[in-house]
Amino acid sequence: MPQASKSSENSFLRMMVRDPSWVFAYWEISEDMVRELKSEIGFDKYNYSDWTIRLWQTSTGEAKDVDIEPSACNWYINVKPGCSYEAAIGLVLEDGSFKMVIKGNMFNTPGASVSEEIDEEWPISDEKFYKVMFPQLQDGFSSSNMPLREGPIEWATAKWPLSPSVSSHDAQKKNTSPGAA
Amino acid sequence: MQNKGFLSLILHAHLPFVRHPEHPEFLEEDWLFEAITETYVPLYDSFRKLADEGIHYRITMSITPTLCEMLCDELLQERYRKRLNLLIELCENELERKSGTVFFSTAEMYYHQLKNVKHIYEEECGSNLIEAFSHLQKRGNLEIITCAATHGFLPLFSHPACVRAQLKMAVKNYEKHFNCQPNGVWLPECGYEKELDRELVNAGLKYFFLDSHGILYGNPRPKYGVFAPVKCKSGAVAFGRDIESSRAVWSSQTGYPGDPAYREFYRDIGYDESIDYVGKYLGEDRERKNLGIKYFRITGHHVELGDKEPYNPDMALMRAAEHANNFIFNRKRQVQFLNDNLDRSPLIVSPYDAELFGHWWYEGPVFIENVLRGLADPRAEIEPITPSMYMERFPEIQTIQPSPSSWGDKGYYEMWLNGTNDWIYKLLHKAEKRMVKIAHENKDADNEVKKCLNQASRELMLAQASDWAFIMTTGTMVEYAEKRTKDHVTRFNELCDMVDAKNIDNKKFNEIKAMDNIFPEMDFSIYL
Repeated sequence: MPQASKSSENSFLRMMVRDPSWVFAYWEISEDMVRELKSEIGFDKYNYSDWTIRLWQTSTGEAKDVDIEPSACNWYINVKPGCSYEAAIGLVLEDGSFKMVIKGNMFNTPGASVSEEIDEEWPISDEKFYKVMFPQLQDGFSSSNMPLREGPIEWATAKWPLSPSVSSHDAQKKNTSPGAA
Repeated sequence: MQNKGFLSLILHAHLPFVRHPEHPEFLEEDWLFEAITETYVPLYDSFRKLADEGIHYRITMSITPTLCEMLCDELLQERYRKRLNLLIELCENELERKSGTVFFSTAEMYYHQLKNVKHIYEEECGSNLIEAFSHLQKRGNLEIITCAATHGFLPLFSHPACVRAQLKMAVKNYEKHFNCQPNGVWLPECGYEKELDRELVNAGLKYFFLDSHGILYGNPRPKYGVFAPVKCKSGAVAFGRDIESSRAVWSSQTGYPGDPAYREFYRDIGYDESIDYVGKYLGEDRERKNLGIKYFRITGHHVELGDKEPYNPDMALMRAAEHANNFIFNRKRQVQFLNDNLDRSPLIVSPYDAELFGHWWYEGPVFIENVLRGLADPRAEIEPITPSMYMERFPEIQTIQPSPSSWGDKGYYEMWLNGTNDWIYKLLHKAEKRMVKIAHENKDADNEVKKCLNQASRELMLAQASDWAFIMTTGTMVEYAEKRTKDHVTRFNELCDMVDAKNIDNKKFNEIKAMDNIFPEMDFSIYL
């Protein structure tokens, strides 16, 4: 688990949960910090080490390392659903040890599954829960009795912008906004 | 009558703050103008008509603070009236041109519709739709709720004080426009993360909405799923989106709006007619754009745009009525199924973007009106209800921890956090941190500094609008969305720099203030 951290206005690691399986990490590592690090561990040792984001699952302490290119400044990292993590950027040294450089924020990934925990005051069986809440998974239930044709677009993703600049219309040109020079 | 179930129809009305006084006309302002003509006025007209007829209906609308501010803005009102008059002139020309053709009844429809919109907007509403909706709310059939101040996607904020500020600003803005406190809030994009509900309670908000899995994946398991609200430990109540009724409208595969009889969105005379004819109505640059006059129907999913058949207004209206009946019929079946399996009368919560009705789905407002009429019939066996009314009648609610979620593609935060837009968060988070810090450092500052920090707060909030990240993902108007993000962050930093340097450049300040005049009631102390 992380023991110490160095972060400043110019050096930080920020973890952002995207969904149950992915987090987005972005960071800045100042030149001053790199200079200090080199003088602390030695130039040679620094050159033989790898920049890494290390994630620790808080419940088990299990660690996961992701090699990074520090100048990339951001990375998407695969994680497990329903877990809490701590994160840090550091160097994996030649001997395999981890030298923490910047500690990031803790984060929790969404569970993305039905809870096994049943509320005693509000009980419901597995069978009933899935039958009622996920009827599309059952045979024989569909409330649609009327044949409907397919729609032209997926409304859920087409709501913006209101005036699409690109459509399937042959004559339609790309809109340019006067303010978007 | 023994009601067997309840239905809560929710319309989320939102547009980002788009107002460009620095240009005589601006393409993106059309978003508001189109929505007024096609969605807001038709919905208002339906709601008022139903109320006048004494129809018992209940509907909930979230009208976002940015939309409230734009609808009350004199410059935008004036520009809209000008735009509407031009379109009416175009329709007059169209009546002549389409005389004796199969398109004449549609040309007549547009002419009468636009004249009616003009009458309602100018005469009935005095150009202020917010006052009109506020008046409707007082009549008791409509519940209006709020939304985060600029529709910021709250789970991706870096600082709780900034989440708080968006909510406090929203409540303050709601009170200004509607003269009462909002009971509920539409979380932008239904974006939820654990802890967010506490902030809602702190802001005095009692309920909010989640996508289905936000409830279904909650802990412990929610006994009634999305068919009854749940309570968070904080006391905030969450209502879950019903999958079945959502799909009926939203789905591209089976949704009503794709019916062949309905108007085809992508055949518009702004593109179909010669520039010589429509140029005057396209704006100064005469660039092609939608004018809202469309003469064809969807015809069929696989029919090429060039092969679409003429629109038939009567056929489309009949279809909208049939679909409304079908919607109610299916809800009855759904309620029957749920009653057979649950020991409580189910509540079906059906939220939609308001702009879907009228703008995308031209016949949508007629559909909504027919649904509301149909539900008022006791034989419908479904009682329309607002969330506030439901909570009053059924105060016993299971407590669970909802799951992080959104109603965007794939159900989480990817629409607003992906390779097209992830660069914005470093800028935004830095600005959020700076805002909280500078607010604390200057809480006792003089009025000159305060006005700068109030404007900096406006800039930060405008930069935080979820719309910009969304547009970057969809790949249309990206330039504009990127520019808006960068412009607001730049203006924010300029203002903060002035404060830090104790050197206020009033000329610069006034320029920024004139451009981004949203929330005159802003007080940066909401960041403390």
